[in-house]
Amino acid sequence: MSDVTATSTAADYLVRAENVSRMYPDGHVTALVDVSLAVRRGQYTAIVGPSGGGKSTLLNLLGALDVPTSGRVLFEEQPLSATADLDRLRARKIGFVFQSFHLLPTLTALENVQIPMFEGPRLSASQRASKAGQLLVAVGLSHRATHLPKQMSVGERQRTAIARALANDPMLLLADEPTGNLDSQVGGEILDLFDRLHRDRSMTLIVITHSAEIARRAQQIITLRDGRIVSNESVADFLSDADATTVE
Amino acid sequence: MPFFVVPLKNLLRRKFRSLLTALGIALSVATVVSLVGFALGLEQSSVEVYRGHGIDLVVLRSGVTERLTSNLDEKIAGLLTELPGIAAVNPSLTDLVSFGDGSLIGIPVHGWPANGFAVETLQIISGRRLSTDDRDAVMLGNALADSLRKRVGDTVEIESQAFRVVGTFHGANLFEDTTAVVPLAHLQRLMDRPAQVTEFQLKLDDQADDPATGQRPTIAALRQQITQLRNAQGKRLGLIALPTQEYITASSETKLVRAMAAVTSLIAFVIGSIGMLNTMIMSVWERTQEIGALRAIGWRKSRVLRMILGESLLLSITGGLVGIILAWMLMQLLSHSSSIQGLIRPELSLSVVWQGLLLATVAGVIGGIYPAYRATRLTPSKALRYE
Repeated sequence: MSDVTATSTAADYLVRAENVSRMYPDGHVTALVDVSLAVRRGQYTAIVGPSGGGKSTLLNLLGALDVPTSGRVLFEEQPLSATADLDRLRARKIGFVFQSFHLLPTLTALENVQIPMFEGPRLSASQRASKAGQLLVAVGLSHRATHLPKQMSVGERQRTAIARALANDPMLLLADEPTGNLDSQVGGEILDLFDRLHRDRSMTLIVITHSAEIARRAQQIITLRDGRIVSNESVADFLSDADATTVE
Repeated sequence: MPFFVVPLKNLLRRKFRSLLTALGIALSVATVVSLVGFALGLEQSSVEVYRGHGIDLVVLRSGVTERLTSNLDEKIAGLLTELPGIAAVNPSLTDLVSFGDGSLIGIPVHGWPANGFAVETLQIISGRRLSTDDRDAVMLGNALADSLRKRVGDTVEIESQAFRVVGTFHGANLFEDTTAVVPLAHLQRLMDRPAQVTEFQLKLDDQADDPATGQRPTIAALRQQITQLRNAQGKRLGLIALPTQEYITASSETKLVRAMAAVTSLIAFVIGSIGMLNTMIMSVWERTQEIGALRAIGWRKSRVLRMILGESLLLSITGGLVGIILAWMLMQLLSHSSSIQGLIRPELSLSVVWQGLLLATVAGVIGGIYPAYRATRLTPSKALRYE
């Protein structure tokens, strides 16, 4: 299961899950069973597997959006269960990218990018706008700053959402099917953007995907099925196992 | 981008719904502000009539809730005149009567002594004032005279008895211009209330000293003395003396108008709040996923609460401001309508405006607090899955 190597120390890991299970009481459904994994700082991890396999549940647990029924999740070696302010942790250290973007439709791209900054380090309104402008430049959307989401293509909306995820300079970027609503060309552009973030900013990325293309770009590929990790391997191992454009 | 831009722009998402909700609040506030404004205007018009005659204190029977039923022996005037600091006493009997063929009903008619200060302070338009020699004479307020199409020398029927119009007058306002004045003794006969009056109107002499103390009596002391007045048998007369403003405020008519305004305002307020609540619940429900996303990216519950409450407050305060403008327009329209023109001068005072805005704010909080609370109860992971 583990990617923990003898040469890695605890400080190398940004986020870890230890024997995590998640049961939903309403349906007596066990979404995750005894899952353990570790993600090193600056690592690009893809979580793949069939629908209903527990990928989103795992992402929610790693992103401090949910709590495990048993086991524990550690962020920077601190158990999330002992972290007093998970909102603050998410706001300042974790960026989220959703499949459906979840941009506020009445705000421009520039304004949408500023949304997380209200919970970030204290900045003036002009400083927030300036930083949002720089992030839009970074994702190649400076020309769309004053456009509303409905005036942008789906790819541009996802780029805006990525810029928003970077608003507070997070250590970890979590993406749930970020190319799920995009065609292959636009999806490829988004993946290129993730590559740049990973390369230029040493960003730690965890991406849920059905896309083999994303998986190929990752350094660690975790396959989940029926709530269990069925494989945790490097991209070389993964590519030798599968030759497909989609992963289950 | 300042934070308030977020709730402001959220409201623009459903422009028509936001407009209707704000309009609901605006109508509630307009109703409240105009009703309270009219009630205050009515009160002030009554006060003006008394102040127009220079009346400082009004004496009536203690415990009487309806001033027209106050029944006092007119001889008490003598006792009041003897009190230090009293410049003049005007005994007054007031009743509501119908005129002519009954087309005008509920018209106040005052029975005043012809030589009393109340008659003397009326501004004569035509004819003359009442004199002590007059029998079956009446003075008409000019608005009443116009309504009855009567002039000096004509005859009017009051409660089936003929009275000769000896003069028309202009009162302190249209409120008084729609009244009639007859000699006190004649009204007492007409109403079968011999030697009875409803109230005594007092003018104070602020230069006079109390011979007992050598000092000028305070109004409080004078009111106390009046309360303590006793008849020849030593029995307390049961009087109460009220300053003009207090007398009007305490009158059953004023209380009734205020109560009606309050009840109608409450209903309008509840309707406005329910409209706001409905809008905000719908808004939160529709945005469940979006709120989940905001929580996921780190917004604290308190910020979500501020966003939702901010939206409801922006709506309600906007509605409140529009409501105040509507109320002002309504007041202007009604105060210029032929039926009440000049009778009531609506009061759009700063305090009424504040009341309207406060009401709108409370409606905004009531309408927003529950949906905001619901929004904060959403767990991000569940909200993101919501469909």
